Amino acid sequence: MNRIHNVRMILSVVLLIGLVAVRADSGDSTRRIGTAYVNNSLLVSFTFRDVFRQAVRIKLKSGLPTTVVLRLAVYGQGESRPEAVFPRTCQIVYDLWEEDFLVDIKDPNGSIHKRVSTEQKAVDQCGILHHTPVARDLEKGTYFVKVIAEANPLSPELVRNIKKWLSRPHGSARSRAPGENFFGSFLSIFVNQRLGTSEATVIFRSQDFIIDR
Amino acid sequence: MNKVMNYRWITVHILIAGVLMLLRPQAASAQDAEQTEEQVQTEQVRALPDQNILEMSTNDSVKPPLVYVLEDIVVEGNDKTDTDVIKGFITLKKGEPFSPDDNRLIMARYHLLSTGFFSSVRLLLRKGSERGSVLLVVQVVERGTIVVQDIALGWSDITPYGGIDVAENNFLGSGIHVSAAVVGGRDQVGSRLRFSYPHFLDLPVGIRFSALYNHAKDYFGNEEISIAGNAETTDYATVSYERYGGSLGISHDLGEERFVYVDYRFEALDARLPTAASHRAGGVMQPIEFDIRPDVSFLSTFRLGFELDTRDDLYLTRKGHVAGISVELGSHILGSSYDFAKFNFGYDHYVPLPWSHTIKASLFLGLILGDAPFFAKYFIGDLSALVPSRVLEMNFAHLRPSMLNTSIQEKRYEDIAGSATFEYIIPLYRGYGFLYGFDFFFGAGLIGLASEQDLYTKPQGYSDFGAVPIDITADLGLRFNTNWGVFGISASNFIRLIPSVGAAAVED
Repeated sequence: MNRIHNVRMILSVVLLIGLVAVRADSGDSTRRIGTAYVNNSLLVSFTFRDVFRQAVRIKLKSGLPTTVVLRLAVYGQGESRPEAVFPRTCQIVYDLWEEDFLVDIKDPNGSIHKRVSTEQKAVDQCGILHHTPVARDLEKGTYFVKVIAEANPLSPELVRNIKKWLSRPHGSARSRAPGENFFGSFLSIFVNQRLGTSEATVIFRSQDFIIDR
Repeated sequence: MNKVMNYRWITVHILIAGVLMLLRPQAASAQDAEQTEEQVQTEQVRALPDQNILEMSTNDSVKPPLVYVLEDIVVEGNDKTDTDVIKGFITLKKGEPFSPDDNRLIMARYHLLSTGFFSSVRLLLRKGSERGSVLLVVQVVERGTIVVQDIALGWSDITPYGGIDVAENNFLGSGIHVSAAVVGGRDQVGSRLRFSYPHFLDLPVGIRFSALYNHAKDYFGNEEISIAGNAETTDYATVSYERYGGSLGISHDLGEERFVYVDYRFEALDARLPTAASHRAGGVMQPIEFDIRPDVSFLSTFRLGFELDTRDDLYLTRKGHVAGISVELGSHILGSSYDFAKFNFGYDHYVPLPWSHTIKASLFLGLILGDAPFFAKYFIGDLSALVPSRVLEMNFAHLRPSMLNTSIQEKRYEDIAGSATFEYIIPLYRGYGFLYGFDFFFGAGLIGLASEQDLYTKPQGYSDFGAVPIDITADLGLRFNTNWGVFGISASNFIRLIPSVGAAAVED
């Protein structure tokens, strides 16, 4: 009977370990941004140049594109659903022969195609919003915005495909019958990689601000 | 009492995986970005219309897209890996015009990373010899490619045993994957050597080859086993056998989610078995079928398989499904001493629940028609989580499941198998750093194992429900997804660590 007791004790330990969950904290920080409400449009000004971390900056002169995707959502105080969402994509490519940077920005306000002479100017073009309209026709009230900026994000589809390549290169398709694989029914050849969804991410929310028309 | 414990073995099966690559996603195309943007837009409550204001009016003139001509591909940092192997992953050709955001560049980088040969892959462009031409530079940092893929340790009612599977993923820098596995226990030793080449002759197929040698025993019979020539009964009738041979196969990807493969295997078998033996099964003495030819025989088969895999994550899956079907044929036309056809169908379906948990439903059906050697049949330990599975198709235990006390406890190697199980998966942690996440899971299901004869004749000694050869399997535990690989630990692993627990249950 003692042995049976041991079995139950071990099962309990497994359960206990399982129940001690550690949940990741989103860790959103708060930044002060500039806001104005002009002609029924909410204009915001802030910088998120810190998304250009060292690894991202190194790539800027590689001749290959660097993409920064910004997602901004405007929330009414106490609301869980955004009043408006503002997406923005910025791509920087170094032109090897002209020795300048092509900056391509797209957002709901339109598109910008620029050539700038220095890396810092390219970063400023991408990493700063200045009096940018992000929402319209907001009611009177208190609001805040949440911002997510990602450098070189990967699409979910690409991430999924990469994981498949990692775990199952050509030549490794296998029978799904139990017992036919290498070390019995438990076996999988795990080739594990951390696949982040982007190379760098900046997440923050603004201070509360009031729209009083 | 406690039928679950009606076995006497200890085994721990530690899953170790892993290729220690440090992947740093760096690239993304404009298309990717647009997809992200689209996702945002579909979620948004209201986006601003494309109109007016302020700085948008300051656009410069629109420039034509940047296009270069590829002058050459330069590989840097590869001491071990052959340059041509790396260039084989670049689908751009010399002299070809291309844009810097060409999706093939992104794919090439991740395909290179997926080989496991490199801890880092960086692509960049350099000026070529003429204006407008560029060199594509592939900078790699090689990593150790020898990895332990799996370890098996156990202690059954017959013998302690252990095994290890080690792989070299970049053999002599050629890109060939080589792995060697050995397992041993009392009077048993098995080994297997495998080669696979993901990009054989630049063809869209992978090729693989394996060689095996098993010096093995298996243990037949249930109770009161009598062997011809022996006056006394024994615990089991032993078959000693050797297997020499291997397989050769190719696989082909039909897109990202579908795979087909064909394998041919040939083995020479040399078996020594009792002239005759009988045992008590279902309260009746019956002859023991060993299902292998005495002395030398040959096994020659072709297997064709297809797999569909739509899982969102192969390690900690939340949604999608994976289905596989295969047919293996052995025939004297192929030189085989065993004529049989083996059909397998497996299906796993993952259903995400609104509160982030996942239910996994699994179904397996297997049927063998004809005369297959016992090790090619369905083994009880490969169906039940509560009975030790085989290692390198070698069995080190003589145990039977009996939770429901049905006729399945007389079954070991049979021709008809099925299982229907479910698993409830609770994600407990997702994060960064060494530990990417871990899930808690628990599951249960029904397994069935029968001979063709059971379809026509009720097993002797069993009546009503007991005649149906089914049993319950159950397990619970944790799966850890780490930088070093995926580790699984479950209650069945722990139970197997307790000495003589089966004996205790019998005594109860």
